[in-house]
Amino acid sequence: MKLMSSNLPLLVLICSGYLSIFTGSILSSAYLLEVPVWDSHCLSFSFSILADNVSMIFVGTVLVISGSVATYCKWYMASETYYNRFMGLVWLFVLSMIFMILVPNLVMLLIGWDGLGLTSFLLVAYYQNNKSLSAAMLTALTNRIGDVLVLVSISILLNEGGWLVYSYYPVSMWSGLSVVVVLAGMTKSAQMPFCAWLPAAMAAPTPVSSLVHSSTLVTAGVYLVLRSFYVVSANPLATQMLMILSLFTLVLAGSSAVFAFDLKKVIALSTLSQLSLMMFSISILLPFVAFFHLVTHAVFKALLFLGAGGVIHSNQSIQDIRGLSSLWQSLPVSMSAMSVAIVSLSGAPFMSGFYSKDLIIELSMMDSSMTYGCYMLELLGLIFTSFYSARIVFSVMLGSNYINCSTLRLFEHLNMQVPFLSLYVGAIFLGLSLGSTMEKFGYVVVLESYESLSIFLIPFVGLAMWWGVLTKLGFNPWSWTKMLSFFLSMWLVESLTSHPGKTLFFKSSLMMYQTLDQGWLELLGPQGVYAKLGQVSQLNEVVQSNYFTYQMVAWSLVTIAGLSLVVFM
Amino acid sequence: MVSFVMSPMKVMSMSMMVIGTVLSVSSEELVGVWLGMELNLYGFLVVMNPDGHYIPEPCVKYFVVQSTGSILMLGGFVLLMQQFVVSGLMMSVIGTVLKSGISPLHSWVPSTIKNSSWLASGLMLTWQKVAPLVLLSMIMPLSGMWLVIGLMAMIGALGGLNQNSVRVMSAYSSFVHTSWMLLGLTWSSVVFVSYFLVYSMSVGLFFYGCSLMNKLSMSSQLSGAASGMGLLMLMGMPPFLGFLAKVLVFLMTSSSVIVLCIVGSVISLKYYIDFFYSMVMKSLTDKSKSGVKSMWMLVIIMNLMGGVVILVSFL
Repeated sequence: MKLMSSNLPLLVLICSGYLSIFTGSILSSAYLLEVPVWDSHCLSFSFSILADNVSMIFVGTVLVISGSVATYCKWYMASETYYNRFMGLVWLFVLSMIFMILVPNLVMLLIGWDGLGLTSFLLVAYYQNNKSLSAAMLTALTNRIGDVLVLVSISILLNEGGWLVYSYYPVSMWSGLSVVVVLAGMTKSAQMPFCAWLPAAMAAPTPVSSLVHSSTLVTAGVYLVLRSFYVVSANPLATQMLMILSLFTLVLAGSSAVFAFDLKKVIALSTLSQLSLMMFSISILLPFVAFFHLVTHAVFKALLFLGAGGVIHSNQSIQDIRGLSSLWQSLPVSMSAMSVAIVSLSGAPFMSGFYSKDLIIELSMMDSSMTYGCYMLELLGLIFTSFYSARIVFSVMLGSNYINCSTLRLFEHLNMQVPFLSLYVGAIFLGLSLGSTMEKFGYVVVLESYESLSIFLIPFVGLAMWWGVLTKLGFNPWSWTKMLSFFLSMWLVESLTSHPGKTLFFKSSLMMYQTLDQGWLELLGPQGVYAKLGQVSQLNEVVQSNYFTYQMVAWSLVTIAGLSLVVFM
Repeated sequence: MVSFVMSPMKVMSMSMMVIGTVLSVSSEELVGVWLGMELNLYGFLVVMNPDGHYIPEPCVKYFVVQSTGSILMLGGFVLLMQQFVVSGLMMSVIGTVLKSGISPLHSWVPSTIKNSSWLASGLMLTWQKVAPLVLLSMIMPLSGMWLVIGLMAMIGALGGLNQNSVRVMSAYSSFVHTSWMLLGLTWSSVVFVSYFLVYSMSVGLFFYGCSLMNKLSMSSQLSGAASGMGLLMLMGMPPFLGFLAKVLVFLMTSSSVIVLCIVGSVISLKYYIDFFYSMVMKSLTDKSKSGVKSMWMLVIIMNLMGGVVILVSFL
């Protein structure tokens, strides 16, 4: 009872989150509150809040997840010295995300957008070691590119006389704006060229990863692109680019997740593949379906991360899936949470992930503009999902190894179980309820029977592949080191994207240092002047050191001159 | 530490020093000017010797220089009274220049100040200059003034570069500041007085802090803050009053000699910063615990000073 009463505010938060989701799903009108802050001739900076069903549902999801994560932190971070600072940062993070969701004005949105980047930097660097710092730096700098792109789009939108980019039909617009907005969204959502930071951000504490990967930081990019859909869809180049890059990200993330050993990294890569699926559905002009998947994915991914955090925290901080085994015996509640999340993630029928993911696949099949290659890439990426999900299930939960095979049941704290419970509900029922109540998620799907059957079979194909690779073929790809390093470094994208920029800046910095600080300018300028002045000053010392004779001579000369003037005038 | 005990002798000599300057500045007769300066000299000679000690060297130097200056000055006055205008003016100007330690005859200042106490050297740089400078502004021809100002700025800036003694450095820095003061004096005495007040305040603060300091470093927080503050004011960096005084002169004057004064101030920044670094910053890193507090105090005083500047500039 004591535990429940101390968590009461957080439980109220979770309940109000669910309430907000359901209010949002039956809301039929949109409200825009606009407060002008500063007016000039034809420009007005205003603070605006947009409340329609999309923002209500998203805010509700954020509240549910942040409430659960905060409850979970009471158990997970209990032994931290800087617990209060940590929680303060987490709430700032959530606050800036809510700001980002509710404010449709691009100028004011930048506060939330920038706040996400800053607080994510502080949270990733929370453990204060070199690895976290470099990960945080990578995160912050990649997000910085996104900030700059948002600034660029603000300056382009100056021509329109307003910055309400959400649900906005541009009047006379440079079509490059859509490319800029899409690129900004891609940096935050870690799409292909910018995807190196997402696995690196795993250096953060696990509850933060849960928050970052489900509903806050990474979905901000998707949310920006889907809200500014009318701007984005104005240029077919932007959607084409988005489609190709997101499909490549899907395959990249899936194939890397198959090979990754780090439990958190596998989950991070699975987030990446789901994000690219959302981006893909925006690129085939289905923003609301992307939003549907965003919400359901947020809930089950948060649950998955919380489960993984429980596993890591209860097993001496082991993150390597080769060192974890048979956890269904020792951590039954966490494992059931994780298995619900994984089943939902791989899109098994009638879980919440199924409704949204299925809708995306069916509608993309109906889309006639898609080429055959794109379609194959999509299927391949989706097959990988169940492949790595199966890997987690069979090695962490069910498998056994020689490193760690404790069968004792560990104590699972109530503060850990309550968030699991609150997210179970979402991970199982949210897809069904949202899909049935919300008008915008209703689509008529017309497919051939073999097509719908193939969709149904996708998860099982992944499973079969996993089974076939391991047992039937006797082929163990994890022992092939070159391929392993290729996939573990995410197709070398990490070094390809971060290395050239780093080298460029360091080299130019060295050049500046050599030409300015060590060059002739310094010798001719300050240092040379100082040396010369020092020499003059030494001359002064010579005069000063025998100043008495100097003074005597001077005085006597002066006196003689004066007297001679007096005498001879 | 300043051994400052208010003995009757000290009270008398201090008041004589003050009265002498006041008499000299407010006198209508030339002889009165001379008399005031003599009174001031004898008062100051006692002040130069702290109680219980007798420091002959700087006293003798100072006495010889000042009395020689007085002889020249008085001789010039006598000649003036005998209607020898040019030679009389010239002699008295040379005497006054010698007495106030201005450029062609400046070289007694650093060596005298080097060996005196903090109080005596502080007074020598500030109060002792009032009477000669005021007299100089009345009798000095303007072309000579420009020459003197330029020379002062250059010598002060260049001479201070090689110094490692705080007092000698302050002597050279006083040359630069005197050039600014003289430039203000050519225009109006109000500018001179305000610059002089700011300068004496900063020198007082700086020397007070230094006198509290022990031999090794600035261990006392108050001394660190006070001397750091004083140095920053002497530098004339923008948030401080020293900057305001310089701006006042800059706005008032119409002469191009101001360029030399500015160059002198810029060069003198080098040695101010050197001293600031080794006195305040290094002692902060050495004794981090006391250093942090004194740094806070420094910051607070700095902000207060900035507030004063803003107030003054808006009123």
